[in-house]
Amino acid sequence: MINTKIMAGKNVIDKLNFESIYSNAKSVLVITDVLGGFNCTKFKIKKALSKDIKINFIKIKDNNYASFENVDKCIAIANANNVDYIICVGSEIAINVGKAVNANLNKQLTCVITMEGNHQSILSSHYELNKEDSDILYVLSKSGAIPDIVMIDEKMLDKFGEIARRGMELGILIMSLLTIANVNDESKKLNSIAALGIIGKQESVSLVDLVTAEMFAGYDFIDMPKNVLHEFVLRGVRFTDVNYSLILSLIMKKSINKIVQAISDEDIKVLWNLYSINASDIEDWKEQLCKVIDNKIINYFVEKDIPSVINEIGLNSKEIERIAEEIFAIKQQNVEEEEIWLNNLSKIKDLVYGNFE
Amino acid sequence: MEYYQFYNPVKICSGENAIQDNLGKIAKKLNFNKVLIISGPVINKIGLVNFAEQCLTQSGIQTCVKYCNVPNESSINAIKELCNIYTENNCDSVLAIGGGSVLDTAKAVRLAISQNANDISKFFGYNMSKIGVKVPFIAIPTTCGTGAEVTKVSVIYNESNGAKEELISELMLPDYAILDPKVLITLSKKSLLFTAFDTLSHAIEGYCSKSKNYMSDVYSKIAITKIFNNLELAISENANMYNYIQLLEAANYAGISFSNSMVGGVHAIAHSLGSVLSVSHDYAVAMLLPYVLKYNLEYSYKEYAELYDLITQKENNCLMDKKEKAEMFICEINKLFSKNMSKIGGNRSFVDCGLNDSATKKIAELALTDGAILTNARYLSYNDIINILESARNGEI
Repeated sequence: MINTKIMAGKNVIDKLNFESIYSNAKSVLVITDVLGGFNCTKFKIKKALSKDIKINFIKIKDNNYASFENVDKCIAIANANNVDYIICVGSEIAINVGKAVNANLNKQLTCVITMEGNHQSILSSHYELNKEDSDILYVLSKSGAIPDIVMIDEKMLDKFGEIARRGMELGILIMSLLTIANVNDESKKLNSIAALGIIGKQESVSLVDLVTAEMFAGYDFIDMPKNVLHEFVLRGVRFTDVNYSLILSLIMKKSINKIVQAISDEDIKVLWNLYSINASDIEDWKEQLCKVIDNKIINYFVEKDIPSVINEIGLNSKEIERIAEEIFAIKQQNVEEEEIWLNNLSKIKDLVYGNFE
Repeated sequence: MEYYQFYNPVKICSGENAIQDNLGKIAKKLNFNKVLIISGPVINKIGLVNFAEQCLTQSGIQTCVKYCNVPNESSINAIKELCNIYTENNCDSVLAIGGGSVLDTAKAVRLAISQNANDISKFFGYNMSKIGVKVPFIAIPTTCGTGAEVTKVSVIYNESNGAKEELISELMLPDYAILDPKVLITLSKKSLLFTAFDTLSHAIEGYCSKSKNYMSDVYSKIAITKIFNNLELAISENANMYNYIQLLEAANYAGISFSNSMVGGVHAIAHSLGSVLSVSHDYAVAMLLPYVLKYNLEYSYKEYAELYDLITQKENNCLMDKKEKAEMFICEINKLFSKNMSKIGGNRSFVDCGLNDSATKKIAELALTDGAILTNARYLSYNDIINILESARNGEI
């Protein structure tokens, strides 16, 4: 269950201090990155907070991944300035640094999203940091990394194109359906159902709604135990520099039917009106949903600039093996779970290789 | 949606033996040391307060100060008394065990203590308090209706003007809610039915509200499914713990939904009916629900049609249009109530409650001032409310 306050829609940043969220604040650390500086962010934050609050700005210059080094820098600034609130603004770089800092300091954390794609882990306790010397990506999890507030401001989101939207929608569909099909505890799939409710409605989906759906779907998906697919996709993203949803869609696009068949009748009842499906029975519903998703996959991958095979985007067999080795090396530290990870990894590798055409 | 906010900071611990297995652990985690236990006479009499105290003691929490006289309606004076007890005994945490009034009282106590105050009246209204002292707080609901353990509203009786006033603040919300099906075993079948209909009303009104959002929709849907799948069994001789936990969770989910989406006409009229005729809230809601649903039909038929699909999924649903489904949904709600009402030997009539012409007018006037009316899917005028109440009185659906 998500315990984070979600504020979404128009002019959200102006509501930063809505309900006097920062009424007790004395010193705030604002972490931004290259994508967090657009649209007068700094000015808007200053305006929203009281003049009595000391605001300490830091801009992260990491290009691709949040690093341990920058987290240490931010912690030092926070400690030196007795910071009691942390606000991170920008792409996953600023968000991951903010989450990592708060995981260590346990203050109040607000994340303001200004980037396109890769919102899947924002609401979770997970965050990703890269170790520069060894160039290994660590996926860490601490309860302090869960944001207290996430703000999605329509105006602050970078505009992005139709194909990117389609990719995000596919990613949301796959994450949500995988969770719903694999998780029994209903409270652990409510957000996936909500995500599908957002993207499966009749009206056109706004950018804010799409981002929200990706956060919801990701929260449940990442929370699935021993989720090697997530670990794999994250590293695939790092090696190829494309979006999470693209890598996920590439790996899972041939498995949609299998996932849909695994959804329980009870869950289908709740999802019944998804994409305005008007089915005569459960089997008909499954068939219609598979058709909807197949069409979405075709529409997404048919575009010239979207590679249809994984090795076109640089995820070749060498990289696939490297990712598997990296995951195994990290997870191997827990001997009891070694076999489970090995087994899951081998299944994922089969899936990935199965998508080579 | 121009803008929406969704928030449920309360962590939920749910399941059979949840109190025994988790209360002590959670209390330790929240650094409970000297606990003020707030409850009512009935819950105390059935031994639930002592049981909770034992669970705390076994976890090494040595001191519990008990107050088990919360009145049926939370009041300013009761809150003042509790705040004084909390301070005089150097308590550092609150545990509430009970129905809506107990939880509302405890929520108000938490708010007052956090503001270093004992007079809650100055905080009436929306968000009138600032973030203050943190008071660790666990809530254990003992009915399956209010969802008070997750709602940021507390309704308090103001002795000085005789009115029921609202406190609205996230600062009142508990850190944890523990849902244990055993608490429902001693609840009468009638209370079970009415409180479950209060839940159903929260979920449906939340789903059709003008302020709804995607997350509140999901919580509403799951709550409705749980009620439809379990209510009949729960009030039968074959009721089991699974049915009870499902009803408790339904109340909790519906509470999360309407706390983020608001309710509507059913609650606006039911609040007023309660004030004018001293009818219990859950009974009023159960009786009014189909009439208000019918009034809103033209404005909410799409939502009703979706909910009809949710609770039925008959093979010929795909041949029906949305308006047909919507009408069938109201029939299903009505059927669920009537069928179960007849099982427990009750009848569906407002006549015995004193709902005469003069009371009807008073209720309509009062309902127009209720905040819930603003988020009803369809505008409600004085005459509309009169018509709804007259239909309810005559039993004409």
